[in-house]
Amino acid sequence: MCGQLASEDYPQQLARVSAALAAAQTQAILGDITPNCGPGDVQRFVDNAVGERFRLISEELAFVALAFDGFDQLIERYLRETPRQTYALDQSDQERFLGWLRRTRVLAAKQSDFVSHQEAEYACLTKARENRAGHVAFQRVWTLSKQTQREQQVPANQEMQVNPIHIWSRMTIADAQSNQPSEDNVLFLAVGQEVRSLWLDAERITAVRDLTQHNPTTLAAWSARNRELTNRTQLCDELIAAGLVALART
Amino acid sequence: MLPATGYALRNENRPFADDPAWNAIEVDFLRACHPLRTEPLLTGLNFDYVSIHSLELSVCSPDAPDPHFLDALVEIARENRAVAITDHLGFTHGVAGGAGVGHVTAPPFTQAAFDATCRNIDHIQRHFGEFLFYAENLAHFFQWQGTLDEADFMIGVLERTGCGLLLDVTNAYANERNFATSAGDFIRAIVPAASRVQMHLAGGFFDDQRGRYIDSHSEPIPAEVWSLYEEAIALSGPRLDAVFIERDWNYPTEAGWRNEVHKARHLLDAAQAAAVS
Repeated sequence: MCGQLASEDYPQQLARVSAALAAAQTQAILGDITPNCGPGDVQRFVDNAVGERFRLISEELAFVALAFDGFDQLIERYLRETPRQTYALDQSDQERFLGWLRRTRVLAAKQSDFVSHQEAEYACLTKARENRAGHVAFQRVWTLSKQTQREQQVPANQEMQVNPIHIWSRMTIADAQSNQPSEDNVLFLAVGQEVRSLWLDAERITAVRDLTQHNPTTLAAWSARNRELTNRTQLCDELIAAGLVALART
Repeated sequence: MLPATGYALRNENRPFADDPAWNAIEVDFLRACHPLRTEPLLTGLNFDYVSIHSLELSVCSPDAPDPHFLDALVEIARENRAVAITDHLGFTHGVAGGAGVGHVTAPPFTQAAFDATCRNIDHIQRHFGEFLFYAENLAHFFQWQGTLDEADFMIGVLERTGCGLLLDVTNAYANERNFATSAGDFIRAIVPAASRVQMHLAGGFFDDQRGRYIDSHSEPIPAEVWSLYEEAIALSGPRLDAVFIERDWNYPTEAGWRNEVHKARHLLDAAQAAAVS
């Protein structure tokens, strides 16, 4: 790397060339490479790296793309403006792209919902990453619960556990159902190796919030706190089936 | 039982993991660490040798790798009963947490890079504990100006740190095609310096428009690479632990998957038989 300042030390060298490559500034490093390489080689490197980023974002965010015109152009602009981060186990390039969309665009309600939906999925992944033991333990208990549920009605004093990997999010499109436009109204939760969403009406949102706030609880205690809720047992069954609630092992 | 042979695990080759010639597996770290996993990636599969392969340790960066990233690698290695963790002798960034170049690339071969690399590998090996660490030679898109020869750089790293060598035979072959550096000379120079050896085999294609061999992992392993592989087996001797074939695109038929791992196995067995006789 003799092309730059003689006084440049190794950290400075790598920081400079990394920044140039991340920004696809191929000309900036031509003085650093050997004579048997050329601009085409550096360009191939950049194309390869950027192409891979583009592919990952495009494939993983295909759902979000449905709400946007010119989604590919937006990805390209993001890639030009935002270098890839390293050691980013806690936030993928795809997640950063969604943050960039929110910061740099005024999103229509539908677009915002699609982005929120995807962000909630990522938030569940983050929560699972931070609480792997909780996720694995709940999934085991839940698998057994489904068996119990098939065999008998939920006993009133059976302890119920709430899936620790859940996130509330707000979808404007769901406001009409919930009649609570200012509140988060859709629940996202990890079920096995996927994230699912639960769209609930206002009455059920209240009941489910109560369930998550008083975790663990029993059907009897939960029913006592939510007397106005109709079909409590049925809702309990539905929440077990959906993966939000598991029956604790006795 | 060792050296073992197998593939880098992909969804496309998993159905053929029962092949008797396939007794080693390389697990891509990012595929194995999905946060919603409820069981290890290798559940239901049995191998004699499991190795975790990473792309982002950035062992040639000035600073040591992120401890959380190292912890995550160890967790995945334990979860999948691996004995080894591997990454490339290259960098993905200059500043920890800063801009990533997007693709691991070899460093400038200088004394400063050498010192940083050895310091990082020492740190990595201390962190990994019982898991052996192997450093892989890269195929270059381009080469930085430097003051050391690549082979000398690698020999120095292997000797000073005692880490294993993940010899990517196809990467050496690609560098020969693209930069006229003899793959045979390179392999003959670095393999003797390694305490332990793993190997990678793959196939790419020559891009006439660019005038470069592309290490795309998309084609059958070329004859020249098989020849280099045979030589590398002989040079490695009992230090060779495992051989992995990489295929990422343009997937072969079942026969294609099976034939290549059988050939890798057969050449190993033949070399062992020759060594005994």
